[in-house]
Amino acid sequence: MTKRVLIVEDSSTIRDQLRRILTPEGFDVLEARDGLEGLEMAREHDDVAIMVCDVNMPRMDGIAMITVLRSEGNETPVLMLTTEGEPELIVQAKKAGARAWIIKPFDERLLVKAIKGLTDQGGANA
Amino acid sequence: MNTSSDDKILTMLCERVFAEALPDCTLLDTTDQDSEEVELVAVVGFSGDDTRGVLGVSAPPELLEQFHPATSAGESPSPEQLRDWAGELANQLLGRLKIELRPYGVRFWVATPVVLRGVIVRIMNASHEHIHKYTLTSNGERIRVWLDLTLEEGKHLQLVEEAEGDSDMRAGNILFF
Repeated sequence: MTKRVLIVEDSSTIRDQLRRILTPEGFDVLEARDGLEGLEMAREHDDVAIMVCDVNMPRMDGIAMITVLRSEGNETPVLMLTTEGEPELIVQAKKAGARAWIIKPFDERLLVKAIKGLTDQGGANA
Repeated sequence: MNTSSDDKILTMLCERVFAEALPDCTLLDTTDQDSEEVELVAVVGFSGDDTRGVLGVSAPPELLEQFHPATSAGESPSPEQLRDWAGELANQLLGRLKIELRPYGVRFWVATPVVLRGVIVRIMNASHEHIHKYTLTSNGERIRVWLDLTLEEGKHLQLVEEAEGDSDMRAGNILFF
């Protein structure tokens, strides 16, 4: 069964790269350009199995987006994909409800493995 | 205000970042820099309690295309995709530098990258105090990186005790919660 992944990332390069990697792996890919758009799309699509989310983005950052989603009862697993390695930010993301953190640039095989692992565990909407 | 010791450490860290992030590029002797006009320029600013500055990257489209993720997938990125990639490259270089600076007690927030269009920027060869300029080459093309990092008065780059978990913060690492 096809699983839906929502990519929340302001770089079109990274969004395209993720789509190129995940589509052949059987994922249906949705894209949002910042946290606010990601929030709206997560509300619209209740069948998202996992979100891959940047931290630093215009309008709304990734951690703020997760915080709002969790407050609304959305428990979709979120994997953070970012250039940031600041331990304080990682702790914030963990507290907000993120499930994993990957620092760019990333190994494509490891990313796919992590996404499959998190979706196989099953989020609320998976 | 940066001291020569701070500048030496920054140079060492930048060279480490380039070796990891741009392994297919060769870093030229930093004295071998001509003044040069460039068109595709990405900059990303940063600021913290005791530091502030900007990192800039410029590269010709041919070189950006060489390193663009779509190229390795057999696709040809559009000019717009190359501009976005220039910003992402600046972002990733600064992200790596931020991780390298953490053991020296430097913390800062990174802004979203900006890619300049419709301008020609002249990278000056003349020495500007504490502005680090680097030229890397690959297949005969040049990528220019400059770092303008200013430490506040009294702040210097010194190794501080590594906090628990800091060693896990490397590019490509995955942390599961």
